[in-house]
Amino acid sequence: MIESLLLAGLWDTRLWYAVPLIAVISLVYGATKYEAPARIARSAGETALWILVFMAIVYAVIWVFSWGL
Amino acid sequence: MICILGAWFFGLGISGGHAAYINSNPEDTRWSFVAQLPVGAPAFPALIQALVTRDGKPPLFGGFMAAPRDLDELGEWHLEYDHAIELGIVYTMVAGLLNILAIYDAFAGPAEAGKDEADDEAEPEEDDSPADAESGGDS
Repeated sequence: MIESLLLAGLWDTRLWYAVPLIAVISLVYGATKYEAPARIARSAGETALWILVFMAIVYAVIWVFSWGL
Repeated sequence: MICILGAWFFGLGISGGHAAYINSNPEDTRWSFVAQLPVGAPAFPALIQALVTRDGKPPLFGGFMAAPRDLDELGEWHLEYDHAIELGIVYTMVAGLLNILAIYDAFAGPAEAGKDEADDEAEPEEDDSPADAESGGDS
């Protein structure tokens, strides 16, 4: 039951709106830090990973606090 | 530029042009526009609409980026576009805030540009290090 709710949340179409936003933020942030395109791409990948991890942590915290509601 | 404007127009597009506007109604103060304005010229239609509608005249461009007449119309927008209004506000705010970064980048250059060269130089050194160690051992 819980797994199906989690999967439903993950595959909810609204969540996909985060993907271009994360990509844009990562690329612009990387471009403000570095000049070389390869370095920008690497930095953008790292930033995107950080954002995703941060979002996952926030999701987990909210999920734990909403337990039993 | 493509990223920032892409986010701006995507946000405006999904919200039907209602994600960014200035409202003189104190019940619908749009603090989000403070973050949206730094995107520059793409936010100017909201300024024009605010000037035009200030004296009670109808908005231009079919109401694109114009404030709602009242809270009922705002409610209709939210009913019609559902979550897209909020998503559009987020996208356009992020575009404006990212443009501040881009402006700063244009003014001061990349924050860690020196590291590009340092990384390029560091990699060959790492490759040579075993040879150096061997030559050091011979001497």
